[in-house]
Amino acid sequence: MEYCLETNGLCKRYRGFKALDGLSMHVPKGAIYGFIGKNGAGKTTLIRLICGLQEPTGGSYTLYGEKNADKGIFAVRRRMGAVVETPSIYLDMTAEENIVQQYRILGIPSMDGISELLALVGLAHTGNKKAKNFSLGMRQRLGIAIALCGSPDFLVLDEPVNGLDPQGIVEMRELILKLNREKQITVLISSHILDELSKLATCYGFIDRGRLVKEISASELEAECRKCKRVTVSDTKPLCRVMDEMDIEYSIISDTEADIYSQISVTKLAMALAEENCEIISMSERGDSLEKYYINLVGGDDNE
Amino acid sequence: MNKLLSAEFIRLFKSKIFRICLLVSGILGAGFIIPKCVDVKRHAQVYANLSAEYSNADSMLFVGVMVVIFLMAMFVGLFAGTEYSDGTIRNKLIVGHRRGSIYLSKLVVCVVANVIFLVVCIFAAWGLGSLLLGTGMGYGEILTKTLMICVVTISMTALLLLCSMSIQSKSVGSVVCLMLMLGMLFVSAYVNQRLDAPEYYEGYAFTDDETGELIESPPTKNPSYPEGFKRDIYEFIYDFVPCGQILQICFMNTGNANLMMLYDMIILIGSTSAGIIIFKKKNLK
Repeated sequence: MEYCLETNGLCKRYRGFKALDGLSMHVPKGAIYGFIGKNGAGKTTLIRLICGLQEPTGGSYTLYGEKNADKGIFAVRRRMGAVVETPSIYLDMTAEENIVQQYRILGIPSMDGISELLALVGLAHTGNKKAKNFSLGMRQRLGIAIALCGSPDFLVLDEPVNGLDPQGIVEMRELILKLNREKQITVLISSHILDELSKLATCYGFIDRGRLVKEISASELEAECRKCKRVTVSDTKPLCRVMDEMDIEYSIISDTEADIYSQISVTKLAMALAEENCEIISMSERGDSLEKYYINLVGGDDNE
Repeated sequence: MNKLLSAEFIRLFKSKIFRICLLVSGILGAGFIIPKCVDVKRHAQVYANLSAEYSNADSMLFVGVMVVIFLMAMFVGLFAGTEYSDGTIRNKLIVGHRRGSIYLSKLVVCVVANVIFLVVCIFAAWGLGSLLLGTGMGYGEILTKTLMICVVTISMTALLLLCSMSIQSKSVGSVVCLMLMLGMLFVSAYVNQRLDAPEYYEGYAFTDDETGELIESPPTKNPSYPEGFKRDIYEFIYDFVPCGQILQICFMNTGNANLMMLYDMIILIGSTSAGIIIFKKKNLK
């Protein structure tokens, strides 16, 4: 598999505090990589390192085949765009002026494509409004537009939906998916909003205390987070008898609840239970969520 | 670095702080001429008996510079600090610009801005002064002094940028820049006062009323007059510190221009190298 970013035992220490402790991760080309960890786990530190804002104190990383210590890393960074924590925008400039400024920084001579870029992020009609008067969502979108200025192949987004309203979150998700699918941009997203990430990511990296606990693809994760039906009944004893007779795979949760893993005919099950005088109170689809998987992985309470 | 310079200059000319500083520089230059003009008109009789140097604009041409240097400090603190506070410095690093280039492009832009402030201030004073009071100084002398002030401005800006780029907070950076300027001016004024102190207090003579005897006191040595190595140190500080150089150029003769330029070069190279090293090691957020 081809990777656009690989880190090898990456360490970052700040005066006695280890923010990254030998982190090794692999971001495949074309992926949406969900980088998951709680606050202070080291997500932003890793992003700062790969963006060149800070230097690692140990280990190394490779960006499109160039090691961080190589001279070629500066040229390779041209293929990158990033929004680290808060969007980096000039508050006394309009959206268009901010984009023009980034075009100049990149040395792009033609200003063509600015209106398309603003339209892509939904800021086409902001006119002469200064960025300081933008809402948080608009600033976030402008930050992404700036990150997209050089037509990057690799986009790094640090907590892109933080502080956005529900509509903003949906729009941000659609934008990221669009960039990935239509422009084949590899995206690294750090977040602790797991539900949102699960709708986007094609692979995941779980970080805890500066170490990568697990790297897993979305399909592998789906297999691990097995789907089931949670059924609530008046009594699980007759339920057990019926399911054993019907050769259904299940597990008992409590005196009134059970999880059913096999594909079942709900009508047949309901009729069989009725014969046993057992009432079905409710039934719902369940699966081990990304959230639960994450808690199991990093140890839940131990890490709080 | 050309890309960075192009972007920085566009940002400079669009900057509200730059425009305000430019306007204030012009007002300051002209502002010191007007009270002098009013004074000359009001006391025309007195000035008529004095030589032309007392009534022309010469003594006021460079006074504004002493205030403009504080504008420069504030401008560098705010202009460079904005990049930290808005986080826009990250946009340059992320796309592969080297820290050295970023630092140098900032230095060039700040130097140009500060030179513009000074030139506007001096030329506003010169223009209005020539119009209202006339000037005794020739074009050559004014332009030479302006040029020398601009050279000092380069080293002064390098020092200010070192402070501003070492501190990630815009407000703290601006305050530190202003304090640095105030400190340099205070040191220069103090050293100037010590160097100007007379070596001897003048002697005096008087006739005793009772005896009619003429009593003469010889000149007495000033105990606080700096001599020898101490005087050399004071002279070095006065020539080395940019504010001392500005004081000399504005209000006295141009002093040892070559030596001052050498010191400016040392300050420029030293502070820029230190600034780049600090900036390269800085953990940006």
